[in-house]
Amino acid sequence: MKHDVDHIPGGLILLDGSNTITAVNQTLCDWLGLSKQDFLGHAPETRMTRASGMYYLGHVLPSLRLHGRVEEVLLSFSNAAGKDLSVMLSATSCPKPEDGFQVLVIPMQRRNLVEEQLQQARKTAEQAVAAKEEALQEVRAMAHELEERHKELARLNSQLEQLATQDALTGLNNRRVYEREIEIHLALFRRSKLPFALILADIDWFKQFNDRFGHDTGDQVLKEVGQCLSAGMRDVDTLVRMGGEEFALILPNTTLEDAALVAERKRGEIEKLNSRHGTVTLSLGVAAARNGDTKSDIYGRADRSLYKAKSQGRNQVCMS
Amino acid sequence: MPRNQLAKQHHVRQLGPPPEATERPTLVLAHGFGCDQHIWAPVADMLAEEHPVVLFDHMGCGRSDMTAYDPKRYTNLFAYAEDLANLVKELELDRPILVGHSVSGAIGWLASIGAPDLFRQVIAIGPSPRYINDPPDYIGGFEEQDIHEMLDLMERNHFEWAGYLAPIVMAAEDRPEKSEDLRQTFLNADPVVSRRFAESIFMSDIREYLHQVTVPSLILYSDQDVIVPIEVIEYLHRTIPNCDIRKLQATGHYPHMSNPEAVADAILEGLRIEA
Repeated sequence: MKHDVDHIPGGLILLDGSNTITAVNQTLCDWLGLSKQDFLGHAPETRMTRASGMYYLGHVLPSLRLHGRVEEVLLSFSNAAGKDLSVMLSATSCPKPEDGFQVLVIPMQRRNLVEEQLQQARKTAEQAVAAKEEALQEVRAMAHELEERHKELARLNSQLEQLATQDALTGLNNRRVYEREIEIHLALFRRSKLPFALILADIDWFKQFNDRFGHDTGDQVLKEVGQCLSAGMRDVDTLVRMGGEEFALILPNTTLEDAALVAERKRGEIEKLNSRHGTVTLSLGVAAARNGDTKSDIYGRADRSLYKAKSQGRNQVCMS
Repeated sequence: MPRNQLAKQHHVRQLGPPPEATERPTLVLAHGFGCDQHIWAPVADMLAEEHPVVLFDHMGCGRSDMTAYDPKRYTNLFAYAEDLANLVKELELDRPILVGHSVSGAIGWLASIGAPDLFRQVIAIGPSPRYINDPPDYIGGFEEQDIHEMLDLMERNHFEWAGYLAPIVMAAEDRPEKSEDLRQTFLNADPVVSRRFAESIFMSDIREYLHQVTVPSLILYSDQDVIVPIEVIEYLHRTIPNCDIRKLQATGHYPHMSNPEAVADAILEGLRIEA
């Protein structure tokens, strides 16, 4: 086939083995507004945009040398006026024994626009995915924070629960606990007949004591009595400050007689307390659970016993 | 770590006399961006006539073990420098000479800072500490925009090779050179990995580390290097403490391909052979 390759509708470049241009056809010169002399003796990347030159050297040439061919590579030449010409480039090794490469370039300005739009679309999609991922991370972070807040809330609730069941002055359980515990123990007693006893204790002459020494001293006495009562108690026992100078002790699995012994012991201990403000004494009433008891039944018996102890001269234990 | 694990991961090949059988120093040839150890073929053969030669692929390139490629790790040149140092240690090479093309020159220097006795010499072919201009005092040859354009080009040209098309193309066409080797190279040309490598190279700036380079260095450079302008070579020459430069009788950024004899001769002449 005899043909004039100078004017085929494609650019043609011949390179020697050291990547130097040895021939170029007129078509490529015309496209780029350059003369053949502008090409000959130079490396092709010197006629490309800087990015394309890098890409040519970094990818195309090594691949061409390694594999003897490259196909459908997109890159850009620079024309004389500094405008870019996007082309598709394919190249192969020259037939042996020649050492070099033949390079064909086809403009793809129009195709390129499509490509660029596709690439842009893909980037947009990638950014959207990244944004989604970021949003997901945010949701995860929020979920985590929510979980943390729940934990904090649970902690606060338990603190609140403690506050709600604690007597602020003495640190002992308050009356709410008495109400709960007495119900529980009555229920247990009804079901399993496990005996339990209730001791009500009241500080003698507390009002006078308060009037004489002031409330701070009264509070001090209440604390000391609370500490003394709680000393030596079993884990299962419940000590409560009922209000004012009145305390209650619920002793599970304890008979009336045993409870009276406990009450007597506590009475002795309080009497021996060496308070800075003189001797403090305690009157105590003891009752044990009986069949059919309601909580006011057992409380009433203990309270009547306490009244009896008071009326018989205080600083003593009565039971019923 | 099992013996030779890194050697396997980096597809190490050793040419020439065994290191223990000769007094001559071992040459470790490190390829640059966009290629793999094959790029050294003619030069390596010439050097291996007298010297032990070690060839390897950077992680993520050529036939390196892709399963060992950690995308989180290979985001800057220090990871590659660490690899190189570990590889030299694993191979138990006695202070070899590193011959690094392009980015591998920088990688070699970074590795030498962490371990000054690792190499007895670094020979860098067309290296650059920073590719992007930093006006007014530094000319790297490129604007950041150029780098982004090139990354876009890579993406557009490699997109279709992303995994699935390469084997189809290879199977559909009956080519004499269709070897498992070539197929592997294509399969390994993961565009995401290549792009990350390109980014870690062309966005790199190791200028601040150069004054710590104490290993004797020789820079080989050539005319018409589009990637590395002469200003970069001059900058390296006056910044690295113990550094000679030498112009090759070759042109372009790949003198070891375009003129392997000149490169092999320059390497042999530039070797510092110590007693």
